[in-house]
Amino acid sequence: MSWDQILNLLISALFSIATLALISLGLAVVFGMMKIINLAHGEFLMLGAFATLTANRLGLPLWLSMVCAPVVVGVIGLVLERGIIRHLYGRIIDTMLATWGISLVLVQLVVIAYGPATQGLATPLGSFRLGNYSVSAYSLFLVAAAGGLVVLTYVLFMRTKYGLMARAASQLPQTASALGINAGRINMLTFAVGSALSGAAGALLAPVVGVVPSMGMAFIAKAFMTVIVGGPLVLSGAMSAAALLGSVDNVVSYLSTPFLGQGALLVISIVLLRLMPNGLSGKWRRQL
Amino acid sequence: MLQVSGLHSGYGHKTVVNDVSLQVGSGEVVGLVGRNGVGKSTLLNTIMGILPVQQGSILLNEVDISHQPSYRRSSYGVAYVPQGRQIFPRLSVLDNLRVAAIAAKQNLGSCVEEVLAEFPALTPKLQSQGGSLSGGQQQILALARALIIRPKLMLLDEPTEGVQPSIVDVILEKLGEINKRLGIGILLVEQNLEFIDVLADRVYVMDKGTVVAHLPAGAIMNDKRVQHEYLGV
Amino acid sequence: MNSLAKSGGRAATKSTRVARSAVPYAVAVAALLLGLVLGQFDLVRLTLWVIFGLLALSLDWVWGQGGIFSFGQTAFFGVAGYAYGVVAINMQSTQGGTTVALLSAVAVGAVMAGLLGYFMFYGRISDVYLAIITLAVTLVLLTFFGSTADPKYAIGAARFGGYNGMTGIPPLALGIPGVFDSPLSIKATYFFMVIAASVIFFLVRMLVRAPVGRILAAIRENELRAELLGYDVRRYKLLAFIVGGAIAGFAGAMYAAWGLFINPAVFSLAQAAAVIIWVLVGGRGTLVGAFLGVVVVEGLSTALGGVTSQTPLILGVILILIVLFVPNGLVSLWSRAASRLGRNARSTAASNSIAVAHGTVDTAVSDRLPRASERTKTQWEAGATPILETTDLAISFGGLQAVAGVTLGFDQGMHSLIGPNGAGKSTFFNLLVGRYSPSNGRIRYKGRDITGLKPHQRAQLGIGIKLQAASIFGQLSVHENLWLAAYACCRDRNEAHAIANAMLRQVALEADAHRLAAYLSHGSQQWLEIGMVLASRPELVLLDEPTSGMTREETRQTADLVKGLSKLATIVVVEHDMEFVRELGAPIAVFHEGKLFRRGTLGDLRRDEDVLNIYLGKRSHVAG
Repeated sequence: MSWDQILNLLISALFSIATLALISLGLAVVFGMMKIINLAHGEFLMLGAFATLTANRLGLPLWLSMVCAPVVVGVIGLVLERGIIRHLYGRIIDTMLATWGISLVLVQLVVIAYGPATQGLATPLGSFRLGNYSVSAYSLFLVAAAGGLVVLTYVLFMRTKYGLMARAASQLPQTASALGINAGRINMLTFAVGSALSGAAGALLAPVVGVVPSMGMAFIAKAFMTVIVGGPLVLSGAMSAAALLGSVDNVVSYLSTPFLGQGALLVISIVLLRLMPNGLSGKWRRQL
Repeated sequence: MLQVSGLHSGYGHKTVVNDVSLQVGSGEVVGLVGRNGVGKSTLLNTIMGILPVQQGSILLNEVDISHQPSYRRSSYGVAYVPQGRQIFPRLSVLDNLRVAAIAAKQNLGSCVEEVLAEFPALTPKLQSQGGSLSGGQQQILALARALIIRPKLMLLDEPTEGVQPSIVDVILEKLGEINKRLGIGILLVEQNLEFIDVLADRVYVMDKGTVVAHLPAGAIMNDKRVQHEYLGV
Repeated sequence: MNSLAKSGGRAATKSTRVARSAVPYAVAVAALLLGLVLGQFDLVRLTLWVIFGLLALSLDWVWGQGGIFSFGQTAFFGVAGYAYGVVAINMQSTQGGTTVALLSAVAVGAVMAGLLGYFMFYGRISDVYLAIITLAVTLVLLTFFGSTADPKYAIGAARFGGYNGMTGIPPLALGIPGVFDSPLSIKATYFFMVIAASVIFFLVRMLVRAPVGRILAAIRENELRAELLGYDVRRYKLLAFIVGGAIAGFAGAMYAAWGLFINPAVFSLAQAAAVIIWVLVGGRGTLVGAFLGVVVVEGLSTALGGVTSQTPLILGVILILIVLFVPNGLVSLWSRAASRLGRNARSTAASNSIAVAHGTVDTAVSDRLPRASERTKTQWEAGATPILETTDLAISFGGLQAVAGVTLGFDQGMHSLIGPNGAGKSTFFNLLVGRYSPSNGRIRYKGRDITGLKPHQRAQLGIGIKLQAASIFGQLSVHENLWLAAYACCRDRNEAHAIANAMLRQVALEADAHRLAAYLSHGSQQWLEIGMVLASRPELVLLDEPTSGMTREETRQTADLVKGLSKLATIVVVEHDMEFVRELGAPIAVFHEGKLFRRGTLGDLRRDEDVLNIYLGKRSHVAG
């Protein structure tokens, strides 16, 4: 293989991994820290994309519109946690159903506001030549942005007071309470953080995929698989899974067809889970 | 300082603690003994707010905390060292201490430093994860963590269980010292009667959810009847 | 649950049961009558509802009965639908081809469930993770089938068609010459579905009432307890899952045959969640609720669809409201009302009365217990080697040696294992039970090495196990608890029933036979569990702190009970309560710091200063 072919493949693999990491980061935080299965996760991504679109249409430059998205979606997440989800702690199935109801409502509201058709958002930054290949500069930006978000999440949970309390509360909720940690408030913030991360992911992906009310559904399966295969550790687990699954999907699709790429993903996930029922990070000793 | 009156509590509709009244005066060490399953841990959990009060009251320095949410109770000056230590396994030793300071909104740096001065054994292990410590080391960490908030009252649930004898000695010494020097009151649940004998001023005996005897210090080691009847010795 | 609490935990009264069993018949009859009355357009829609009802039934069976919350029923539904399409299209010219397609689809559903179930249950995956894996599998199938747009993705003449789906699927033609050799008309399809659904419904109901269904209920209520009784829970769950897959497969095939078309939308999150909503609305575990749930939810959708295009929005809001306010479903509302009407006037005092356990073992019980080596075919002879022995058994937890090389043999009879908290006796017990795997050493039972066996395998060999916390089937009646224990061993319905009755007398719980076990007093629950252990006819019984939480009086009665039992089985009791140990009067092994410290009779040990000191914690004891 020629150098440009290898480089192109590498960039393409990184892009797949970054995409998986982005779409699963918010879900990993909410599931990893709070054990909540948020079926509206795809819709948070969608809201992030639409928030970006709207801000852009209102005149804000694209980069600023993207920054708005996590704020908007974070607030929405906060409201939903206060209003609905906090009444369902410990009731896993009821949480799943309530969040599914929320997802239905969110999709419909967006359809009412924007119509059901796909809206375009031009991919910025153009492209450059790499040997025989043309590479989208935005895809490199996306990889960098994904890395940035992962680092941001790490810093938030490992270096802030909130982060420390959140980790303690997720490990031993009753002991944390006895020490004085207000679990209710911490959970609210964690859910808002998870929502904001999903919103940011949606914003970053908006120029690459079509912005349409039903876009959440395309992501949710992969996001869930990544989080499950990743296991209990929020960052090391989910991100390792993203790296693994992203590479597999990419390589197999490249060598054959996207169809087989999907198939390989499914098979690898099931086999991994059979061998390591608690996910990749089940026995790891890392902190996050 | 701590006044528990007519307390009933338990899990769901089951009542495990059945009309318990006891008190711990300021600076006192009070022991609580009884066989497995009589409700000692349930009682401590209720005082900390982990379990709800079904009936009765808990007063701390004359303030009724019976219906305060769990996370507020530590602000009244009560610290808990639960059974099994309950060290945050995935936090470092340092973080275990820091989180207690943050939760109590104390000045982070100085509190942690002071506590480390009390327990120098922890210093070499500051970056190790809580879960990798031995039972004895975890117990010391749990003790240190409780002291961070400078409590007026400490609740300890079987601190010697699963701890090697040399560290039991350290804990014994430390608790006695804390009580005398800092005037911290202690409610101590234990199965190790000698531990109680050395530390406690008074001892309550629990059986089947209620207090059945109240003995002065030293009596527990000599009262064979109580030992047979209520402690299964 | 609230109605049960009010009735003091009494299981359904007769009138409630009659009211409840009448409902399915009423529904079936109503469905048939509707078939005669309604026009084609309505019948088409109703047929779809019956198909969905079957899909919901498959989930209610797997979830309501088996306790397995799975998003995967739509996965089997969809794949079976595609399977039907593939086979039917390719066998269009053959008579009876569609019947073959139908049967193939059912097989596909069952096999797929078998594979997925094997991975999950034998990998010990459960609860949350299982739910998500099944959801993820379903959704991955969505993209998988969705990426088949290219014409090359076809099996024979059947093109998958990507997101547009597979078209041209032939309707069901039963292929019975002379009578049903042409495709069924709309009316005929409807009647076929109603009859098929009724047959499947009643088959499932039979399964629920049969031993296998009762065992599944036990697994759902308390998996650990079921395992300790000797049931291979993984196998039962897998079986339940396969049946669920077959039913969903049948529904899926009929769905394809009904619509003449199938597309990946069956794998969508919307469809997967819809099945759960149908079951929840109708009432989980009621079986007939599956169909009622479909009627209510789909009916509402249709009605709203005629009025507004915001159906998903309204559905979403309704879903949120139901979850927040009516989590137990509609049928539970119905049965709550019915039970209030038909409840017995008998007083419902809480069962705090102290039952008196018998010291002598009922002959009805002892007659049924095996003599010596009746059950297993080993060459082991009573008295030659200890019935249970460990060699150098050890285990560590993260650096702490909980059990540090214990070599110990138990002859037939009664034995007590004591030691202060933290001495390692409970860990040792769990090693004997099989809940932990030792890091070193062997365990031999009747001469046979059982170190590698799982708890349910040890139970099957004749080891009865009672853990410290009372572990019973709380939401099942006392009698049912005992029946399940007896059945695990004798595998005969009626024999189990007789043993259960005998055990009721033995542990003095006859008055509470039909009370839900969760409502017994703590002491009674412990006795129930001892009764359950005995009902499975063990030769060796392991008891972990059986008097934990008991009063002095209850402890004395338990001692009598255990002494009576020791005439029929070897008993090893781990205890903390010296008074109990004294009353048992059995040889004692003392544990300390993970090792065997001393053995002897109570008399010997009472004179032993060292032992006393271990208990009181004195530092001056001689290292053992």
